[in-house]
Amino acid sequence: MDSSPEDVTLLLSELQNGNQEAASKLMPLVYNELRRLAKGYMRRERAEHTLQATALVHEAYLKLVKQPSVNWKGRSHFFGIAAQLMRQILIDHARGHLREKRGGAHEVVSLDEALVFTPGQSAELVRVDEALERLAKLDQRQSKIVELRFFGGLSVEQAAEFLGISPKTVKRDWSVAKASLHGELRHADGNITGKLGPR
Amino acid sequence: MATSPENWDRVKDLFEAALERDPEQRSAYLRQNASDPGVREEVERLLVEHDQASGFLSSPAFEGLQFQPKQSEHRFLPGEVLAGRFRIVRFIAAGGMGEVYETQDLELRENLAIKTIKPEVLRQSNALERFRREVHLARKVTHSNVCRVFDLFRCKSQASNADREVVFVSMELLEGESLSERIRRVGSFAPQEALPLIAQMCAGLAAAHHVGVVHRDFKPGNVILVPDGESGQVRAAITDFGLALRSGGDESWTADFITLRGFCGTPAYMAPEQIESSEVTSAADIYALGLVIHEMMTGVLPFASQTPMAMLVRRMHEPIPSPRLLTPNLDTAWESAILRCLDREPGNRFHTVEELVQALEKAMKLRCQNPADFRTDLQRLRRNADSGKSSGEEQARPLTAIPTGSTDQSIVVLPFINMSSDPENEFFADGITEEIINALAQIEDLRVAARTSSFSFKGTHVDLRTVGSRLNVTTVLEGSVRKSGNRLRIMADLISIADGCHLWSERYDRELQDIFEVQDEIAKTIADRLKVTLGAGRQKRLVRAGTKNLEAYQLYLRGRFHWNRRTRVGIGKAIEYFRLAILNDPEFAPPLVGLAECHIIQGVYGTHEPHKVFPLAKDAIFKALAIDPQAADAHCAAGCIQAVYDWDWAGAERSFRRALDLEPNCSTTHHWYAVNYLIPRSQFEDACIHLRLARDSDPLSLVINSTVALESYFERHYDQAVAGYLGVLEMDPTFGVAVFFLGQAYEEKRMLPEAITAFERAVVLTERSPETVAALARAYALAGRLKDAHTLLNELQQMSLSQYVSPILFAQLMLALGERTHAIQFLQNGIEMRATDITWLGVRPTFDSIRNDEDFCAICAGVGLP
Repeated sequence: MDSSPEDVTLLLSELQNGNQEAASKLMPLVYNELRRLAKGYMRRERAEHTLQATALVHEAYLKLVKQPSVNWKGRSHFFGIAAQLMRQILIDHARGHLREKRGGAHEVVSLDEALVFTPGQSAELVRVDEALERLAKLDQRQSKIVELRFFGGLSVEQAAEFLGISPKTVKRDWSVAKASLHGELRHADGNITGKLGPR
Repeated sequence: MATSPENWDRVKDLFEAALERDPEQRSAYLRQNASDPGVREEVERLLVEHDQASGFLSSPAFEGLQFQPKQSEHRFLPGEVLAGRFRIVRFIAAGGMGEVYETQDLELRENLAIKTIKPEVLRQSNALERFRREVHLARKVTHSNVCRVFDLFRCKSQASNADREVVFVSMELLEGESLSERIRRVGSFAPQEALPLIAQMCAGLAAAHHVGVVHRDFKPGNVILVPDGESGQVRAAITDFGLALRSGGDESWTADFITLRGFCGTPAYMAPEQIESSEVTSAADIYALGLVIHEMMTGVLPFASQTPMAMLVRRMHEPIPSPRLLTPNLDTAWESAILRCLDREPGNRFHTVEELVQALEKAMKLRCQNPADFRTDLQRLRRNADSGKSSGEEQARPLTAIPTGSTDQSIVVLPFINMSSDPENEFFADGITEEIINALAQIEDLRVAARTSSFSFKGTHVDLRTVGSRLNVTTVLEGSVRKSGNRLRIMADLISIADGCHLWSERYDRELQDIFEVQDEIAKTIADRLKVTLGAGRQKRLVRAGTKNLEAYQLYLRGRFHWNRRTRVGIGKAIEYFRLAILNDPEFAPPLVGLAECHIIQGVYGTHEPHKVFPLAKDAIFKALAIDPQAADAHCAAGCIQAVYDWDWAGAERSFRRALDLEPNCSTTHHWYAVNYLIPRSQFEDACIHLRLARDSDPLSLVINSTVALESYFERHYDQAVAGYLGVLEMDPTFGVAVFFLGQAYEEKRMLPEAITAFERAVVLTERSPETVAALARAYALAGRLKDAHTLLNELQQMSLSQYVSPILFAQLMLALGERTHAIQFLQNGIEMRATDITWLGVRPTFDSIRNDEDFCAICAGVGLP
């Protein structure tokens, strides 16, 4: 699948102008690019892998959005999309990892290389994802904020910019969502292992 | 989830409002404000969760996550031969475009690395053309700190896919860990460990930048540290030069590559302009270098505590925090160098990597010479100053740099370090040092430590405060010289001793022919920085280009180098070089003066017959003065010849005065004027003044300090003389001349056993020089050891058959043996031979016994002495 930078730029500016369809068109382009880049990254820089996932997103961004006409808003949109993709990639892999452990076939969208999760991380990730799905039904924006912050690594300000709301609102929603998810995950199996906490 | 969507907004509002209150007030608040018990319960539940969820989800999901490549993907297996020539030895690494293998080159029988290109990359249009260009570019950069790229190969694979084309690049095999692995392993570097690596990385990047190649993906992972078994040094080699681009494959990518613009590189080490797609130049590499140095010194990148994404964005939007927050003892000069590399604006960064290295090196050099004790010293001084202030006993003096505008300015030029690859070029570094000393000595308001004193610190690692206190100077100029063929690189650094502050520094990259200009510039800039005024009529030049013949100039410097050793052999070599210099350019005055000085020393030290050397000296000086009537050193040498050889005392005085007019601060002139003119003529008061001036600018000179004591001896102040000699011997106990003079002072004090001990030691130290043997014989005679005295007399007579022995030595010995007539005969011989030491006849205590003798008076009159 060839993705020309022009397409991406166009789609991004459409997205900025409120055309939500652009997002769904953009997704496969970016995803494809991410996959392709990820392969290279993973092979190339094992020594620097802690930065890889982020670098990956950035490189995808840089590759796709070359035109200087793309402003910071464009970037923030891109990061928003990248966050969604990172979520999808990570959860795919976590699921695959779990299935593999249970002896099932690894039938996920493959990056060809294995993502190495610490023990327990896969299950946690999948549960966060599922809880986030449920949260989305109640509060779409909160769910999105968690996606941006947790899966996309965006700061409060960047998330606010992406969503077009105030940082204060993002902060509030982030607190509520975290409390809510924390409760849900804890209630599901009694305690939180802290695997998704800070290292 | 119990909450209904309708209630959810209410829940959020109450949650937020409750959070703003103190924990103990929250329940009361909710009871008052949440009418719906379901809502209240939900908010209370969330509040409980919130208190426990502080660390929850606080790092992004992907952080710390690792990718692991599948191991089975290597396209080539050990043993397989590519292009009929390269046998795969082992897989090394996989990169974006392909894989790197160690191979054995069957043709050249050596191991090298090959980088295979992935088929999917090759399928992209223009791929091959692109690689050709890359190899061309990479081959332009030939430097030991850059991984060499040899060639591009295309062949058919031998393996199952026989029709598949294999394309690979052959390159240098580098065996060692990458800098990123090293950083991970050691955490952070000490400056002295980091500097050699940084210097090498800069050298590699400089080589690329000079041929217009920008790396654009410089990072620790692209630097391989190759240990050199023999030297124990590590060679840093930059890899992925020009191959740093990803397997992007679109057309604009290729265009980017050619124009050296566009996106490439690893975001963690990217410069802002690389992200913004503005023009990418070598400044981007300097930015990356700044990040790498930051990482080396602190172990992390700036904003490392942030998520990597935020790190990148923050670098673009915020100033970089001081790395000293992470590494508090980081030198401030290093800190500012790092931050300058990381300036948001490419134009504000170092313009070249060389500039960066220079800044770091300078800081290091200072640090080496200002070791910890310097800082402690300073703190102690500050404390003392403070306490003095508080007790009212002493006024706290500011410990800042030299008071500007004051006329009491002083400087020492430390020997410039020879940075040339050829250690033999030391003569050149020494020569430049001396030329700058001479140039500065012409400035009336500036006290300049003379050569001997400054060179006493050569090769030592004394801290600047010690230098300052021993030489009594307030500023130091140090520098280095790198000479390579016709290229010169001179670095000069002016430092205030009180606080170690850099007052000025400069690097001169010039041609050899600009040498005089550079020296003049340095001297003038120093005068300017120290706010001293140049003497009248000297505004134009402090250093004159004496010759356009650079060969002559270098021969002259070599001559000076040997002259300064002041050994018999050294003087001989110096004469050879000065003569060669004169042959190369007969119109160049300095080697003529140098030649004259050599011959004068031969005559004055009594190693050569005066008739044989002084005419040569006169001839050279005559020519020198004809070429350059303003040459102060030539006038000084002329004065010396007129005094000790011609006994033309009026002429000598004129010459010395002229020399001092031209160069009022020359310690040699003050010294020679005193020792060759004033002392022989019993003008002790004036002699003291000039000797003090000489010693002020050359406090560590053994000869000058010895002459100061000698003046006391001639003035019959023997205790003072003894103290003076003992002081010199404290500086250097093996200085034979001082031991010999000390014996003479003891002799006059009638401390004969002490005198004999001193003379015996002097005989050994000077390898039986005639004057020490004669002095010992005399002391034996005075002590009644006549047999010993005669044995030595015989030895001296034997000596005089093969070398020059001054008749004055025999005369003094004869007097001690009671042979007055013989003594007078020897003195008359001395007149004939124009023995230089006859000029001391009027003041030498050893002749006091015959001072009123008619013949003796006649001889004194013959020498022109009062």
